[in-house]
Amino acid sequence: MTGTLTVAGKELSDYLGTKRFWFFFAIIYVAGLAAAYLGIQGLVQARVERSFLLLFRATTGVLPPFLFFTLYFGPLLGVALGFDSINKERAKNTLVRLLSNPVHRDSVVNGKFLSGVAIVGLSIFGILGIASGLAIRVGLVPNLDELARLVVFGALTVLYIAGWLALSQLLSILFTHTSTSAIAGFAIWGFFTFFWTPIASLVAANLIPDPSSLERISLEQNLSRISPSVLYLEAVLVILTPTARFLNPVSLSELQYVIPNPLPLLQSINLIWSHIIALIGMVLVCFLLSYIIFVKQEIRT
Amino acid sequence: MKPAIQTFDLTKKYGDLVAVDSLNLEVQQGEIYGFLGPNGAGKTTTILMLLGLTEPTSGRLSVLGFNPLREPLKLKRLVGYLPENLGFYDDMTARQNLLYTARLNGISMVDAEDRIRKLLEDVGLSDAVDKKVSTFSKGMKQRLGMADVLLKDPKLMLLDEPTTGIDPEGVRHILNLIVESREKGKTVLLSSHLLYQVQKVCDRVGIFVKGRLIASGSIQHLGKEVIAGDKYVVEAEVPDATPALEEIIGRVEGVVKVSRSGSTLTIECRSDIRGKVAKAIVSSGYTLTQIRSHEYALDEIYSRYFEGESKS
Repeated sequence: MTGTLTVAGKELSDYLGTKRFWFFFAIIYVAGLAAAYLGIQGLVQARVERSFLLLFRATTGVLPPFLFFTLYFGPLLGVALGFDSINKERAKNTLVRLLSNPVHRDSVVNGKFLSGVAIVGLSIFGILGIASGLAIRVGLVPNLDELARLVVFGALTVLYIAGWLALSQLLSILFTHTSTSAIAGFAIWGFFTFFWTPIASLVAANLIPDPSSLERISLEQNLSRISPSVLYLEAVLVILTPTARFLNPVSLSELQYVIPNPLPLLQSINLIWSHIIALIGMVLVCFLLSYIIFVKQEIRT
Repeated sequence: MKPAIQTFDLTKKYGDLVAVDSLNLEVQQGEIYGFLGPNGAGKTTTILMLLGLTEPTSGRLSVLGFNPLREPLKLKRLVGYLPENLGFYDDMTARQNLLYTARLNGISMVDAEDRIRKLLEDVGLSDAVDKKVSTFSKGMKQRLGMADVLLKDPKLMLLDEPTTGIDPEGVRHILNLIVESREKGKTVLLSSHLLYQVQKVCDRVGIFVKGRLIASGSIQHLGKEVIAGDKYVVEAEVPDATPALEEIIGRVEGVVKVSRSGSTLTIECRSDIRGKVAKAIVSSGYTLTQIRSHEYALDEIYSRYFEGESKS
């Protein structure tokens, strides 16, 4: 554990010292703040449903909603933080020296992951805090439930980005060149974010030709959930929409008995429990593979 | 006293390539052992196995009484390793790099600051303590590497080509540090292909070729082994030497073989017959400026082994 923390501490100060990190940080902050600001403007002008949480999922038409920034830029942050974590040390010949000290190989992986997660957490909660501050200034004061939902939203976002961080770390172990692992990371991100949903519907359409059948819709939905982006989007939409109570298709007859009132937070979490487990699973699988591969790897200069 | 390093039929294969072939090595505590051999002979692979960074294909080994694969952390606390291609974190200063090593080794921060200041002074880097490593020359990095190894006060030091690519002053400095370490009771395994340096500091050397340790012992011992005991070599400087002179010397009783390169004649004989040879040269009207008996240096032992190796 001391090894993990030592590595994490060193990596954290490394991140804070690089231009790459501050560049990314600046982009995310500016984009996120712009989205939040325009969202507030829209909400104030529209004077319809003035809800604090709406700020994070609504769009004014000028910019996509705040949620889309975490959905699309989040993974990029994760990949950017992790794609060179191990192979850079290999290329610079620091890995062999590092591992000749009394530190386990998994401590190195853990420490680097931990520092990445710390950076992600700082970025996400920092930006949520600033956006909330802006909202409160224009009179959108959150109640306790909304505040709790915001925190869960933040935590889910960190978990989602951590998954991408773990994946890019695995790639940095698999590939010797930092450019290869970066390209692989961004390719996987693009595949799951843009192509997976159409592929899922294509596969479903081929397996079940009847376009109106419930099975086909369920199959399509379940297939698309292989993509972490879909899982994340569904999960945070439930958290940010207190009235949401279904994720899977329901029949109209079932819908008759539904009272359209907001759910308490715990009920919402209950609804997306399997999504959370799946996102945690993604992190764990990447880690397991990282350990297995890294421990067996030849460390040479 | 138990040997610091002991290997039994240690073998490492990469596919068909045998990098280390049944190595039986024994390094005593408190000695400087020179690991000699050309590039690609398996020196680095052996060192990595001793550290537990590479898994042997077969064979057993014990380093400071530990099995490197079973108890890597206990062993790594006691062993300092200087890799051949030394890498430091470029964005960090010399002091920050060493502080990281200190933290990884669980040295308290108060102790570490003191020790780092003293060590950087010892290796001659006191002016560069707070400079970024990216500004360092190869020689400075190598010195920093020595400080990095000495920082954890290791019982055993594994130094892979510690003097390659640095200036003579730097070499002298590093060799001094190595000898000082032995005086403090540390064991040193020094891998190199620079024979003169190895000869200067090592108590014993091992010659490593194509994954096999083909000879091991003190330099005198190896020299005798190579020269096969009965031959005696005399070198004579004759500025006006001609092929005819070679024949004249060849007729002297006891001379086995004469060879000439420029003005230097190398004469192999059965005993020390420098007097007879000198007399023959001078009485034939040639100028003799110098005559001496030849002392075998390590590089000669080394090249002898390679001659044998390439013939076989």
